[in-house]
Amino acid sequence: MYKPNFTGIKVFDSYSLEEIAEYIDWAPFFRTWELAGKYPDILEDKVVGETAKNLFNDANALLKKIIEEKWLTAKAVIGIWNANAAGDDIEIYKDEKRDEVIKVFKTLRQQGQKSTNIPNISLSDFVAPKETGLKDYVGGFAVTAGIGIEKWIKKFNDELDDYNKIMLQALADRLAEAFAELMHKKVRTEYWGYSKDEKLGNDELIKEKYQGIRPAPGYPACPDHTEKTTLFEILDAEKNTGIKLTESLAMYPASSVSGMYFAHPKSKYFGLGKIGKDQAEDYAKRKGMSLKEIEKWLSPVLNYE
Amino acid sequence: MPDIKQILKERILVLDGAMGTMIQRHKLEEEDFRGERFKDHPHSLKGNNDLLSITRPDIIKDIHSKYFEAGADIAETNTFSSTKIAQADYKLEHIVYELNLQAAKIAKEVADEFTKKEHGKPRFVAGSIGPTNRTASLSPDVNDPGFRAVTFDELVDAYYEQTKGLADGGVDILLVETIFDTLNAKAALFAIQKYFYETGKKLPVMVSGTITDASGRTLSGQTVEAFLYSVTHFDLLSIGFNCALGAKQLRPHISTLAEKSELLVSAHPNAGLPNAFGEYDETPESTAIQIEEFLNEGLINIVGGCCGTTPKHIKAIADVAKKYPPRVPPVLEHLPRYSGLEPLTVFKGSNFVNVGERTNVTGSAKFKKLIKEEKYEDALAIARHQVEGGAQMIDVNMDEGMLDSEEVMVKFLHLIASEPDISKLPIMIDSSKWSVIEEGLKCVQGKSIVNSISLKEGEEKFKESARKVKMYGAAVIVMAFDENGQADTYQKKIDICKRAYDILTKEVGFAPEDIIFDPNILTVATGLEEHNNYAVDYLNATKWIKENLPGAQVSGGVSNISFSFRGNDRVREAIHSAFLYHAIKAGMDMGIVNPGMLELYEEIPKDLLERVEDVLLNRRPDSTERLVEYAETVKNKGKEQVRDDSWRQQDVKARLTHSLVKGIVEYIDEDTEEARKLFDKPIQVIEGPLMDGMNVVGDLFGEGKMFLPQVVKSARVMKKAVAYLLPYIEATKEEGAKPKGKILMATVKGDVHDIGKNIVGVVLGCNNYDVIDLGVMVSCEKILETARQEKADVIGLSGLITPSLDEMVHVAKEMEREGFTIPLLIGGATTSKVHTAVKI
Repeated sequence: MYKPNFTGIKVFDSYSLEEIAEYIDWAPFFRTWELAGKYPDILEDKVVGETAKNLFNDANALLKKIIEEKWLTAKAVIGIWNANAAGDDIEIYKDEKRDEVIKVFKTLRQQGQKSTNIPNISLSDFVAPKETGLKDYVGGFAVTAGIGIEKWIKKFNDELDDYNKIMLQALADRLAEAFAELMHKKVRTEYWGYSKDEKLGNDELIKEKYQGIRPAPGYPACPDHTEKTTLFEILDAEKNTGIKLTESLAMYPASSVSGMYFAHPKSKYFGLGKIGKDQAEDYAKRKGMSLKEIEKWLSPVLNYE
Repeated sequence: MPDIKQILKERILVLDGAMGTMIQRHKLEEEDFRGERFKDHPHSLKGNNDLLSITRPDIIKDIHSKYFEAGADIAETNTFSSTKIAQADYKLEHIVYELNLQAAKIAKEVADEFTKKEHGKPRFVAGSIGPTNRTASLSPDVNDPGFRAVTFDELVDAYYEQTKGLADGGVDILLVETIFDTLNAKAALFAIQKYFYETGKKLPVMVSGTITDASGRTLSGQTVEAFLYSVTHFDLLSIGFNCALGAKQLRPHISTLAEKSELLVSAHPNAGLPNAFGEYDETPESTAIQIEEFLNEGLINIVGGCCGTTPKHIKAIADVAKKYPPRVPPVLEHLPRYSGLEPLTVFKGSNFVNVGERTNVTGSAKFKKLIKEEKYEDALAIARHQVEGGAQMIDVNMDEGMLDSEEVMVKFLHLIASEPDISKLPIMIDSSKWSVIEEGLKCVQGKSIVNSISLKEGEEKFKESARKVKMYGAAVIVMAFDENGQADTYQKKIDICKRAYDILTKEVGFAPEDIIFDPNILTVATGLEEHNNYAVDYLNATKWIKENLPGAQVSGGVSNISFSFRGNDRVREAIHSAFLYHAIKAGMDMGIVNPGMLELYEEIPKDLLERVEDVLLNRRPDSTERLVEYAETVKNKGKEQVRDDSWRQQDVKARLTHSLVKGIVEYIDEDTEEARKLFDKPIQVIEGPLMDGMNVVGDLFGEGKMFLPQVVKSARVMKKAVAYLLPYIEATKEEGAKPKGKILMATVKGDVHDIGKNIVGVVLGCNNYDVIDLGVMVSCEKILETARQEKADVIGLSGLITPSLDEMVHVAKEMEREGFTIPLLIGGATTSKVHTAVKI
């Protein structure tokens, strides 16, 4: 068990964009611009190298402006709580006494046919079941780098400058992801502190060489976006970061990331695959929603019509 | 025992068929495999066919007899999995020697019986050496490409034990077969060579690889030719392929071998491909017909069958083989041949082979840093970069005091092996320590080059290293260095090279084309007079070697020559190019160069060239001073970025096109104004030069010569030009440029993502569509209302998050309900063709 260095919520207002920018993963940026290749190799690519280099230079020039002139504001809220698994649910407790449940995250379990000795897992498997009496913990986060973007979008629109408008959006997205990466690292090394001695370079962070995962609702392991409501409630995310959830539970500003933190050394990302009506019914009961509604939210992962 | 080589000159020999499928017919149970002796063995033994040589020898004898009766000349021993590595699965490592011994004895017994019966048809036994179930060049863990489940040394150890058992049991031939990983085969050959060397015994050796599928490559990724060059350092009886494919599929690969090798060729294919139940239903007649094609084309010397074949198949094959003469191996030119996953042959008159030098810790501070910091991904990128820059081989060197060179060499080579875009090339393993070179050789399945060995420590050490290099199947670079030091004069260079050549070819048995001499490229223009002739000495030594040591190649490390001018790239590049020009003329075959540090010989400025050649060819006593003088003048001139504004001189239409294609907004307003004055109607500016420019952009984008960022930049220029003209267009009360259509775009209610939509909008816009973008989180009502108002021709919906799919279905339903007949475009990360077709 990894006892965190604090439990509860921590809010970060106006985090340094300069620091966040150091964690940017550039590969998806090039993909947004439909340039295929790994970074930094793409800059030397025989076919797209020159275009990529020019694009990269333009991006860095705009990024410099964004940072120096403070075009955007980055905010975050993280939380680490006493938790245990109860069946496929993860119970969050008010305090160490673990006698009062304040929120419950509900997870889904793989139902696909597996080979012998390969288990059907769910995210709750990465948290100690309460029957064991072990004191385990779970974390959550919501970060954004898109506060204040609207006026700059309008400026580029007025200047008929689609290029910089798209560039700004792409950069804001990259900053949000970088912020999530940075925050995750701080959680692992400081706030939770279960990887105090971790020393990984940016490439290794991008390759997820660290211990623990930060799955977001909508990821293959947890396709149900409605869990975001629970997450946002327990983090009081809207108040603390300004991120709003739309009726489809998309985050606004778009350049935002939220999810949970699991510290277990064997925790990994996985695909839920398809689930059956039996689990959908059970899940609906646990969520306190009608089967029809759950089926709407889980439609891509149902193995029945 | 009759001479098998002689017999093979006279006729085609027939190998037996499958052992496994014949054993399966007996439907044996666990008890049969255990017998009395292994009754209490702690692990299940069912399926361990090799064990039957001890527990049910009668079955094995019977199978051998049936095949001999059908006409087979050679029987393979029942030892396919008889190594301690494969038997570990059954926990029977301790009886491996016995398995091989017994199996060989049984086969020999039956063979001798048949030979006695038919004197004119001697029967042989081939000891079957299988590939084991581990790969030496591939990692079984996709997340850890550097990992290996078995090492070269472990394989050599296991194969040595097997070879000993088979030889002691009396086999006539050793057959290394079903090779899916060439490095495993090299370990087998290494073990066999070791055995021969230590016991003084010698047996003919056959090597048979497996092509796994339609790619025409082995499992470990080598092409047929690359595989061939990797194993022919050994004096083999035959080379061939078996298993995985039927005769028909195997033929083209056998054909390649037959064409490219002077060795005898063997083939023992499967009885076709397995059916849905994993069984083979190709009939003997069918197999024989396909084999006949091989025989017709004279491709074969030894032929048999693998999985699925039976004595009936072998009889059909033997009957047809009788009718044809054996293949006559071609006489091929002995050229230098190397291989990675792909082959590299150095033909006479082919261009200079360049060896990439950047993956060298002694030569590149950047690479050294990456290796020290264990940033292997970045280190691999350097290797890949050289491949892309045109290197035909990669030189890898890890000689650094602070590194564990053996470990790091192995790690890096293991990682290269999992990068086919790098490992397609042959590797040059570079170290001044033999132990590092040896560890490197154990990692590479292709035919590599050892850089280097020399007579520095005397003849005995030289011979020993050379023998080992040969056992690993590599070519070798010999430095012009002997017990007295480095050869710096012409005479010393040629003396050492001749001495080394004689030792290698006459005493060690090296093929001359596998020898590469490096007569030492030493630094000139050092200021020391005795160094001034170094380049000339090298050039002359090169010429002498090519004329007097037939077959041998000449190489050198080019950047050495210009060390005196470190920091001055202009001069260094010129020196390299000029030097190479002369060296290639003198006969230099390959060189270690940085292709980025070369300038075209023809483009070297004449005065620089003259001074450089004065130095290289030692034409004047003051050549060094004169070059240094010149160097000072170019020292501080970097490569200047000159802005070329000459395009501004063209006519306005050309300028507009240029601005559009290059995405330059600077002059668009003034150029558009100038163009406006040229036409009657402002609309004609859009329909004319602006659309012409955008069409060029569209064409280039479509051809993959221009990419999205540039397109968006071009669109920006177009938009500005159009915006400039808009007031004039409205003033003349003309209708707007007839756009191709009006497209209404929106990100649906509840969704906020729009980068993709914006990009699509831009591209459509610059293709003369009128795009109305409602932004994000747009309700269905607003979309349809606007569509009606603006008389949109198309509606485009975007969404990233799953619930947006439902919203899109809703919009589609509403469109139908309200009687819309215009098309609906769907886009976004969450969408799919299936969902659109079925649900929307």
